[in-house]
Amino acid sequence: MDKYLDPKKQLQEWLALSLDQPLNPEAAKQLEEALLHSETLREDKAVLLRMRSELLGWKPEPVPGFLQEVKKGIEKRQREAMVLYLFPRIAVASIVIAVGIALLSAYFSDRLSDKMTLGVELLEPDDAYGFIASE
Amino acid sequence: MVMQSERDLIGKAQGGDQRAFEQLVLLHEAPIRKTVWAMLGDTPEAKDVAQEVFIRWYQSINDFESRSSLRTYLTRIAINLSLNELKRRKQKSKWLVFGRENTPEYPEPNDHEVAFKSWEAGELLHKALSLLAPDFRIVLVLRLIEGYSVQETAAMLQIPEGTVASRLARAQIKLKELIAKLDK
Repeated sequence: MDKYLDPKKQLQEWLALSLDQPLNPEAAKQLEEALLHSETLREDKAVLLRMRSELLGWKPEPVPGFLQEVKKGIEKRQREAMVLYLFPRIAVASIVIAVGIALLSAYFSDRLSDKMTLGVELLEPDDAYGFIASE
Repeated sequence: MVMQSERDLIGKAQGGDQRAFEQLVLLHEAPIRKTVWAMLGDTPEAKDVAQEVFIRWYQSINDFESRSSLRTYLTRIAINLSLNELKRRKQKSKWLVFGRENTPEYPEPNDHEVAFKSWEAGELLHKALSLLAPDFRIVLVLRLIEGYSVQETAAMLQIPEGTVASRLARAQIKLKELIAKLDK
């Protein structure tokens, strides 16, 4: 017997344990003796057995449309997964298209001509002569 | 024979057969709802969590290998999701200090006073169960409600059999005490 445990508590624990697995011989013997002499312990055993039997017989209320709800949930997850899959790709494609449109617009409005890009647009012939002379 | 047909259904469902999947849901709906219901009580979240079990399984249906039975596999998902929900509730009750006084349907363990006032006598056992600490509740649910053996419960929870047995014993004693207190 566990000397740190109240003898009554120890017997109750053995009683509960004995319903699921065999006790060691010494504990089994003490419990058997206690059951013979204690009305309270016998009542405890009866309560435990009734409680276990009630728990085993539990049934939740039926939930109508459970399967339909599961199917709806799956469809919703699939849509969400599709969005998560497509979103970065659509975002990147949109950015590429937007930049392309901006560049084309700038090009056709002459704000982005070849000369401007090369930096020679504003170079006058005199400037060129001056540059050559300085060399 | 039953196991064989379930295996066939699993194979078909893994191959994309929707009807096979639906049959499996119908087959396992009641036990899974019972597990979640015992863990979370008769709450709207319990229904959502039970549905989530099957949604999660569907999403990883091809990862399922028939080493364990489908029921065991689904029960494990149900237990994990229920524990997550209990953690979420605990977090919520930490922040919603005022709300807690008005929501006795989610009582914390040892909160007997609040629980007793709000409960119907006929629901004593279920309500007492909801007051048990999650560690105790899990073993009771798996062993006494689901009917798994001590060995199977230990394997499912990945804890030693001795721990399951002692938790089970203490949980039953605690449950008996709670019922007595609630029944006063």
